[in-house]
Amino acid sequence: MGVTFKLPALFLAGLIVFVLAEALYFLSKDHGDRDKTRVARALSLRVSLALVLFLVLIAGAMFGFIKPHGI
Amino acid sequence: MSHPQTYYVPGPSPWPIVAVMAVFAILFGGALLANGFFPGLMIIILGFALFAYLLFAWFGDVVRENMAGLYSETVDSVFRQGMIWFIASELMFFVSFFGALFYLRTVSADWLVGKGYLAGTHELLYNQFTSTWPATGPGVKEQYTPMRAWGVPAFNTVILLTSGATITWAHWGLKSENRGLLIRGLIATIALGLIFVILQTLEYQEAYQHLNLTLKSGVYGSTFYILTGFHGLHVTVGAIMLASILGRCMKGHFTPENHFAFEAVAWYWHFVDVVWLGLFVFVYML
Repeated sequence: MGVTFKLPALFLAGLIVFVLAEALYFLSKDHGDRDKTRVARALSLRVSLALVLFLVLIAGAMFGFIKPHGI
Repeated sequence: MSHPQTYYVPGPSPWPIVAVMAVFAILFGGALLANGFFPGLMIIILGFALFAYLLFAWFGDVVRENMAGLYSETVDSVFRQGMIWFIASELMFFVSFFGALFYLRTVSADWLVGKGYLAGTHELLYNQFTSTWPATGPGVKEQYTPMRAWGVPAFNTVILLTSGATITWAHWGLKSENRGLLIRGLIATIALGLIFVILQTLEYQEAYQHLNLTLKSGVYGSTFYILTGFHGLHVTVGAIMLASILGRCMKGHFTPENHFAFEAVAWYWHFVDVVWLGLFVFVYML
C-alpha cells in the first residue's frame, strides 16, 4: 500500500479514535444539563468520519492502491 | 423529582452473592467439562442462566432506585467514572489481541526469516520459512483459504456504519424529545446488529466448511477467530444492552436531562463499530 494512501487513511483512523475518546470525556463531564449536546455531536462526527474512511478504503481498492491478502 | 444531597446507601442485597454463585457455576462447569465430565456443560448453562437473571434483577433494582429519585449528583458522577474504568479494561482487552497480531506479523516473522536478535531461529530451526501473511507458522502443514475482505465482511462494515447512523438518530431524537425517532432509531440499530451477528456466524460456517479456516489454522486462524470472535461477542452484548434501553425508552424512563444509561450504551455501540473498522483494516484487508 503506497505511503501517499496509507498516511491519510491512518490519520483518518486516528481522528476517529480521538473523536470517540472525546465523546467519552464529554459523557463523563456533561450531566443533568439538557442543553449540552457535545456527546451527540461528537458521536455524529465519529459516524461521518467512519463513512469517509470506508469510502477511502473502497476507492483505494478500486484504484489498485490496496491489494488485500485474501484475493 | 428530588435530588438528595447525600449518597444513597442501599439496604442488604442478595445480588452480590448470587453473582458469585453464577460465576462459580460457570467456571466449575467449565473445569468439569475440560476434565471430560460432560454434565459440566449443563452446569455452565445453569450458571449463565443464573447470571442473566442476576443482571436483570440487579440492574432492575438500580433502575427502580433511580426512577424513585434516590440518586444524587454524586451517584450519577460515580456511574460515569465506573464506565470510564470499564471501558479502559475493554480497550486493553482489544489492544492486547491487536498487539499480538502486530507482534506476530512484525517481530516474530522477522526472527523466523533470520532478522533481529533471535535470527538463530531461522538458521537453526526453520530455514525454509519465508515471511508472508497469511501464514500459519512453520510446521503447520494444513492448507486453508484466507478470509477475503470483499463480500460479507465489507457488507458487514456497511451494516455497522448504518447502525452507527441509526443510533445517532435515536440520540438526537432523545435530545429533541422526539420519542418516535428515538424508538425507531433504537429498533433499527438492534436489527442491524442482529443482521451483523447472523452474517458473521454464516461466515464462520463458510470458513470451517469450505475454506478449511479453523482455530487450528496456525497463527492466522487463531488471531482471526480470537479478534473477530470477541468482537462478535461484544456486538451481541451491545445489542442486548440496546434492547434493554429500548424497553426503558418505551416505558418513558429517559428525559433530555436524565439519560446516562442511553448515552453509555450508545457510546458502547460506537466503540464496537470503531473496533470493527480496525478489524476490517488489519485482519481482513492487510
